[in-house]
Amino acid sequence: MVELVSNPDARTLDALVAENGARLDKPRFKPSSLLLLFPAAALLIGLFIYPVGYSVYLGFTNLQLIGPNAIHFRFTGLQNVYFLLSDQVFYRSIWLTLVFVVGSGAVGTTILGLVIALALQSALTSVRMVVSSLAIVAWTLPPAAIAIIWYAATTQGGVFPVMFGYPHADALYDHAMLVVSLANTWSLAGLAAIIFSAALRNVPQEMLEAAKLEDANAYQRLTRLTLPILKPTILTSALLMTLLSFGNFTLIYLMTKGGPSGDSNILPVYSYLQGFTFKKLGYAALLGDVIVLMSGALGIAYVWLAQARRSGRSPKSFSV
Amino acid sequence: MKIRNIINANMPRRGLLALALTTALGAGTTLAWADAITLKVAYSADYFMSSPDLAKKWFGEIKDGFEKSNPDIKVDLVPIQGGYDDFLTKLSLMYSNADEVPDVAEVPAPEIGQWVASDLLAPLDDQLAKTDWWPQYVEPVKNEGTVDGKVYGVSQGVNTNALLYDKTIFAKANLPDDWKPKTWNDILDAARAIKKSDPNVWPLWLLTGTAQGTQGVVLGALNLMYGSADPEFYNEKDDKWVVDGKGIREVLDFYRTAAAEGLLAPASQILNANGPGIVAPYLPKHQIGITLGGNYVPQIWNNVICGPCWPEGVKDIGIAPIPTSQGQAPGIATAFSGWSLVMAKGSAHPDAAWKLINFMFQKDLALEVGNYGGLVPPIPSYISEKAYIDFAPSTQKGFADLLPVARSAPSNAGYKVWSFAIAQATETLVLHPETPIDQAVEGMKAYVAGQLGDDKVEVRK
Amino acid sequence: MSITALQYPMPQLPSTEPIRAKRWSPTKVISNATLLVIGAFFLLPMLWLFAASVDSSASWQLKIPDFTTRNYFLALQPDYTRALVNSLILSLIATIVATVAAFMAAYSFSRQHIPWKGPILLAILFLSGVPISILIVPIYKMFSYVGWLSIFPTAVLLGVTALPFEIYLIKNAVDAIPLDLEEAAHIEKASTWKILSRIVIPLTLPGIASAAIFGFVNAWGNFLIPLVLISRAAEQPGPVRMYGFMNSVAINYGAVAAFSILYSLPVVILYLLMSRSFRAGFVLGGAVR
Repeated sequence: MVELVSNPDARTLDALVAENGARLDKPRFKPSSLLLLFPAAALLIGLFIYPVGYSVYLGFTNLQLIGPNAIHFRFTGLQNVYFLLSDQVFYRSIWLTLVFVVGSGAVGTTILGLVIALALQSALTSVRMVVSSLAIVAWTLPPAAIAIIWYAATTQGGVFPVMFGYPHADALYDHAMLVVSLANTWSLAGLAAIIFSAALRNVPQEMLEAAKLEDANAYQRLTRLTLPILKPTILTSALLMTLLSFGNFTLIYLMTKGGPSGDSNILPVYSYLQGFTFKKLGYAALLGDVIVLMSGALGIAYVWLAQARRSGRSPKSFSV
Repeated sequence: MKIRNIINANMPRRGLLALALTTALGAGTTLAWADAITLKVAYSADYFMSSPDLAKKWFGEIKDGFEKSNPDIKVDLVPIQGGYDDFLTKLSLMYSNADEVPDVAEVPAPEIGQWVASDLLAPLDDQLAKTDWWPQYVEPVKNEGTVDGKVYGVSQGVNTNALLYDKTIFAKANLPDDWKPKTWNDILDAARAIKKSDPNVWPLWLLTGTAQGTQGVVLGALNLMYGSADPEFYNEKDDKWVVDGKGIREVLDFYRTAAAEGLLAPASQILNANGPGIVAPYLPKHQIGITLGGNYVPQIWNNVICGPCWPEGVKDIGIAPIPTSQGQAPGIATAFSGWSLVMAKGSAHPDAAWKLINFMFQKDLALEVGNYGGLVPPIPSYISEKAYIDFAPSTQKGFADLLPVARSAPSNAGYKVWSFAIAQATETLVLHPETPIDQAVEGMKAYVAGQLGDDKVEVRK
Repeated sequence: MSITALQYPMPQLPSTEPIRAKRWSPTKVISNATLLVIGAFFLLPMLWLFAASVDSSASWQLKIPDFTTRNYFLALQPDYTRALVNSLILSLIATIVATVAAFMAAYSFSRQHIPWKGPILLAILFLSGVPISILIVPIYKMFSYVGWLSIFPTAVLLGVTALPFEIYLIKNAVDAIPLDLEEAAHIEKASTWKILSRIVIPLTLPGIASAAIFGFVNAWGNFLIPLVLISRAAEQPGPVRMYGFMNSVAINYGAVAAFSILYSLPVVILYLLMSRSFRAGFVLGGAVR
């Protein structure tokens, strides 16, 4: 008779669980996550979520900064929404905002930052120090200073008109959107360059050197190896620059206050105008809600783009 | 984590917490024992006066002088930094917080209407009736701080506007030394003559543009509006804003003609967000022929403000009142707006606050703040004071003489929208003088109707 | 790729130098030329800044300056230097608060299982798009209610405004590290703390550094929040203080320019210091071997 020799060391599943804790093949929530997440969660929920939620609520009230409805305001339901839908300035503002944040922010700044970071890799030390410092200084100047600098540079007798041979041209007022877009890119490219510099450090050098040995020229190394590895960072950077451009409204506000004739009136500027010049905080909050929706929609678009690229990639790649 | 460890780790923290609580309680008790009244005084640190040092100086003098004569009252100065909008934003927020409400505040007079509507200010009629200086105030200035028949703001002074002309440039263009234009066409003719005689000079300086906010309009287009054929742009009876009418068209046409003939200073200058503040350095350089500017402009060249110092300004710059469009009565026009002191309705010590306000209006202090803030004093007798005249000898009297005919900007909510609309219309015409007036007017109508509602606009033929 | 395929000896340490090309290869020429053009783009508007800061009669026009050091003298008055110190305090606190919290959260999001991780991350993303001008009123009401209208709570708030971005930046960096490293350490019974400090932090240092710099500059340039939330004028930071040179009747362009230059110096120095950490970061491939 064959006897099944029972291995005295064999354990049942339950015994194993009892000894080692729950099953390791299923992902479970570890208590240490709570500890790690706590500071960020406490800060965000306490200091951010409440004001944001309250702002959303304010969008449906008739609160004023000063005026009859400053202290005693009330919930007005969809009244602000009806006003919004019939506001021509609002519709133009949405278009201007898209041009600004996507064109100048996502595309312009990301490309410029990427070019800077790539070029810095093979730069002479002196050039590297000077140019990266200039880009950083441009990023760190207070908005009031940047507004004055760009005002000085683009109006009559300023640097750019003189350089291009039209000293009496009023670049700022004739092409308001273009000038503020350039100013925006100028003020954010330094950050993009930093992000890309950091990301480029993680491009494996051996891969590039091996490719060099196999007679791949610089252009091929760039497009076939470096850029694909950087793609997630490119998308992340584009997203961040978009969101930062939303927030760069102080620059436009100080340069043109959204003018002339609303040519540079992006939503954040219009919202500030409504809230702090016309004192209609309720309506300004509603415009703010629209801004959140817009940035959320753009965020989803980027995430979707990132996911689409991720299908079929090796698990070693970055994830957004 | 073991329970024992948690308790042990928290022990020192609990001790600290107990200590903190005791200290807080102790401090609270100590405060309750204090007898001194503290008055909060809020003012614009950077924007209003000609330099932050002057603001600090004047309010410092107020604090020292008042505390000396009233030992049981402490004055807590609350300077607010930033530009015009920032100052108002911060002040508005402070009023919404019971702990931060300033007992006394120095505010721009056009904003008073809104503050009264928020039920934040205390009426001062009773106290003012007992003073000897309030009855001397010129009527228009008294009315500036009056809402619904009650006085809420006591003016420290106002800005009036006139035409400052450069006599050397005029001499070169064969224009009279004592120029007194009678109509707007006279202004344009003079500008044309200047342009002909010297193409490098900017013939006419006139502010426009939405970037300047309401300040730009009150120092620019509003002056012309009050001199136009139909100066009433707000129908108070029906609560409607006029967006098309003879007056408005005259104003827009003036801008358009001046821009079309190249008579205005460069757009980048007159549209600049800091427009009111950048004009003064140009006159010493003989860059501008005729400046439509405020009384503060010539003061910048004296020895106190020195931005830059220009003693020749006294003889080189002449002053002429802004005429009405066709010379119609009253013949001259100007808009004015000033700064006033207000008292909070929720002040815990209204009597002490009033004492402080009264203190601030002593003659010497009142004259001083008028000069530091670039204001025309509201009391006619002050105008002949040496302290006032010497601040800008050639022009102070001229600006002050305008006060009886000056009109202030309205202070209700819709004004900001109307002001923005006319700034936008004039800006469009300056940048694109080929634009038809009808189109600019249409734009104004659309904007005001869009923001305030169709029932708030009025078209006059 | 096998090491034996290489014809020359590999250096012992992971390479931290950029690829050494021939002296004047096309790459180098193009790179340097491009950088010079870009440098010009950054420099030209700033020319005005440098010229005006030493000009006694500075205006908006770019011109040869009438040399003076008076503008720097004005910008270095005690009121203004104190504002610079306030800015430093604000930004340092904000950076520390934000980066520490962001690192912990980013590591958790990256490595651990969090229910509804995707939606939460998206929500964090949305939060970054909220314009500050709208938040100002509820935040002021909140802070004034609990009596937090001073520099320290404002610094924490500034850190919070940078928190969503920083979480994203650091999470990206953490995601890039292959799990094998941590699993190997885990198998060798290393504690979580050791894993973090010996492996994760050094490898993600460039990402953490860029997040920290972002948090710093975000707080450094902020104007509206300190203006509204800090009640004592002596605690106001640089951007607010700068308005001391601009008022309704005159703008002291020279002093504004001088102050702006002084104001951006600390961040440039910070960047140059931290850029060494970029170069010292490990190369990933070497660590796997």
